[in-house]
Amino acid sequence: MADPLGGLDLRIDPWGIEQGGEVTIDAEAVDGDAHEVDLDVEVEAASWAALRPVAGVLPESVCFVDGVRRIDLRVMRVVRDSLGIARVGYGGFGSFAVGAVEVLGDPRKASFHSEEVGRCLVVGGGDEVPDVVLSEGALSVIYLGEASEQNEPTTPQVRLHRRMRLAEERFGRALADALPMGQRLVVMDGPLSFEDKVKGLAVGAVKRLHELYVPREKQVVLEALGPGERTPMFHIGGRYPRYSWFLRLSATGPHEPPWSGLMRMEVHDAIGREASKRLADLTASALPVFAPSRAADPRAPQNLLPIGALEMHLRRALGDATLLRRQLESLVRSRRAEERRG
Amino acid sequence: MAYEAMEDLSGEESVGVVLGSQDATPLECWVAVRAGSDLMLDDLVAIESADAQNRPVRFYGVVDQVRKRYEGTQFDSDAFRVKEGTLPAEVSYAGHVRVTRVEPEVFFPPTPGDEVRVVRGLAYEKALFFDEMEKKVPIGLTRSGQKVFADLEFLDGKRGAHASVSGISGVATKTSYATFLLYSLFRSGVLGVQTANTKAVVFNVKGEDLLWLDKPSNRLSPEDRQRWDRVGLPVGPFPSVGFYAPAKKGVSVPMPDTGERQDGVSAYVWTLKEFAREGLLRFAVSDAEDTRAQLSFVAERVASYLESAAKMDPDPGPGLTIEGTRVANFDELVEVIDARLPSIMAGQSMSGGTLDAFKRRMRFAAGRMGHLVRADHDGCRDARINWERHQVTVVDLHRLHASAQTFVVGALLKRLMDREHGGPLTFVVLDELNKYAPRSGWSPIQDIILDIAERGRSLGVSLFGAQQTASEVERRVVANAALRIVGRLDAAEAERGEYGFLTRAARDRATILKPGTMIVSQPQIPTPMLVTFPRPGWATRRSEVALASRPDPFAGID
Repeated sequence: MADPLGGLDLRIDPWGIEQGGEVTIDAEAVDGDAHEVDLDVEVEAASWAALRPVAGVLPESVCFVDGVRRIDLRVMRVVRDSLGIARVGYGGFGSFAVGAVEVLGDPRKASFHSEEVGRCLVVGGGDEVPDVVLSEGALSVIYLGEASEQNEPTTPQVRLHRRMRLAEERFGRALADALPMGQRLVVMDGPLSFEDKVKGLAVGAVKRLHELYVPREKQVVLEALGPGERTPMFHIGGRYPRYSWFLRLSATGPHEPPWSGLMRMEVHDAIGREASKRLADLTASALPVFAPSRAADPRAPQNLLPIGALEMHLRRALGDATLLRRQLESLVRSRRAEERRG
Repeated sequence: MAYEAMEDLSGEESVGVVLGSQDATPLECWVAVRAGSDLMLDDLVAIESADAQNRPVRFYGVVDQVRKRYEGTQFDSDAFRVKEGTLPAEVSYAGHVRVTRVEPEVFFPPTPGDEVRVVRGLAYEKALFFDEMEKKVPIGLTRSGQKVFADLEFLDGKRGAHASVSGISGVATKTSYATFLLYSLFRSGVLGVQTANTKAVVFNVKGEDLLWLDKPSNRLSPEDRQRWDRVGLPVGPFPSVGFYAPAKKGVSVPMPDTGERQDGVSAYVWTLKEFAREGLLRFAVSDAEDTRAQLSFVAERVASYLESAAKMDPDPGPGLTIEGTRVANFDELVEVIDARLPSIMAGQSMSGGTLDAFKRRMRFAAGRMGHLVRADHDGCRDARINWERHQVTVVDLHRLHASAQTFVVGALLKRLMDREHGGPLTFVVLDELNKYAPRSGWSPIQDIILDIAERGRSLGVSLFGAQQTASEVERRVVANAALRIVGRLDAAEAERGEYGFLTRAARDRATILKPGTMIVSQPQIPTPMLVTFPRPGWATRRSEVALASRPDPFAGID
């Protein structure tokens, strides 16, 4: 019988996934490099104030793109050198799914557009990693092998996250390019990292405001934004040059920090300032209706309704976590047992 | 266990697959309905499955619940967000299937993902076991217009008999359905050569609904006619009906005491001789609740006394001679019994109070039903109900006092049960069964009805009983009915144990049934079925009688 693990000496991380060093990956910290911020893009920095755009007409199709990921099983690879001394490679079987919700037509109707699921086995330490096929009854999935030079306990999550982001990007770009300019707006969850300009329109919606970009003295403008209003656009330089603006999804409650209810949006600067401005106006007036109520979602209002529903939908698409973990565990165990007998 | 080739169902509409988020069992499962398809209550479906060896197994079933919901929403208020188009959600459309039959009979569950088809034609017949019924009686249509049958063998006594119809009054469906069944039995040809021999006795308890069975209705729309056509029965009234009404009080010639229906109605009385010979006194003494054991004992004694008097009577006439005294009417009979009661009861330690109570009961009876037992006119001899003369005999009771009604029903049923070696198959339609065979309380004819329920099957008597509430009818009477039918039920009544044959969904539906729709449970089909039946082809009141059949008062006038 062919070895389903392709000769890998894998051990199951005894601490499981929940307890294991599951370090939150900062999902939004994509672009770690230094950046220059230019406030004088739309209005002069000196006259920065809240703008209330006239409600624009949304394109026929608005797509919200998002992805989810999950480590199905944490493993460790054991490699022995010529002296028999063991070296450990941190690894994990992971699954991710990306998909979109499309809001279409008049009256508006939101529906799940499509989704795709990917799985990978990431192992740190640099040695080659084969693909692993899990085939049991009706279940048949492939974990694509991926070797990483890095070898940290967080390596599997980081790599899985990167794969998901790449898939999201591809997915979003395909959606944006599928229809002629102006007929579809794609809202990506998280910052934009498109490496090149796209034909269609895509904006990134950044939920978590860990980096405000605007100087301290302008932050009062952010606080003063009312629902449906936005800040003037500013330009962020660096590896992914883009235009950005803040908008308010819902009023801040008296018990909430001053920046709650805000969301930062960004577009690739290649689409031009005028096009960006139209998008800024459009998003400021159109996105607040998609904000969930605080009662319904702990991540309200930034976790937009279509995105929240999409995440649930995509988690289902990942398949049952317990089932996959069991199957993977028994695969590793049976392999080890065979080796002992042999 | 035979794995035979099964007929191809690929032509039938596939509506979805067995879903896997709820248990599928050999007896029930849920079906996920595909977008663009519809699945309705009462649809009949076939589920195509296979066993572990991949041999085909087919489940047949009936849909008894369907539901839709938003899938993936958490809050009720999400419905508004979905409606506004800000929240995506999928509509989950599912139906619950109650399995009626598995082919071959292997009881393992269908597999999630198995194809589900709504069936017609042969598969439909199989789903409901119609292919196994040798003699099929049409008993209505499904809501989609397909014929529903019952097996004659469960009505004619071969394997079972009796039907029980329950439902609240006022919607007039109970008797309509009972007469529809009767019509179907007689006109569908299912009785074959026995059609001419088979008879029915219909008691008209309330109103005059059943006094127009022989007249075509003028209320039939073309759609109604179409429905008759679909059931496979000719539209029209009953072809052979005899009507009997009680003789009028205080008139010496026995004249039928009727309301609007005048023509073709005969009067009925019992002669004193018959009354004595058949021991009918038992049915005349009613409302004996208080001292009932003793009173009925007295009634028994007096009845047998009269029986022997009738035997020894040298006069062959309708009157009765009791120890030399000639008696010609009920009042005289009461006088004679009054006078002889101490000697009849001699030797029994019976208190004077009980005897007085009996005498009082006899006087009450004289006032209420005395006019039905007489021998004071020559016509009395011929005023006997003869159910052999017509296929259907309607006996009108609606103008009689309740105790006289009881007497007439009891006397006739006794005559039916006393036939030598049974007799030709006779159907009896009786409404208000709860009055005649109550679960609590007492009725003088309770025993005879119970006797019909338990032995009628072998004596050729099949009872179509109707009542508002089956819970108020003697348990064994209802339990012996092969065909159990409910019309609209009161919500509280629908929850009672007597309707255990109904599924949860059927109970709920019984509370909202419209006239013309019934739920029928029969021995061969493991689930109750909802059937509709066409509007009667006969009139149910004078104004419905089609003109052509009314005598034209202007005939001959230009």
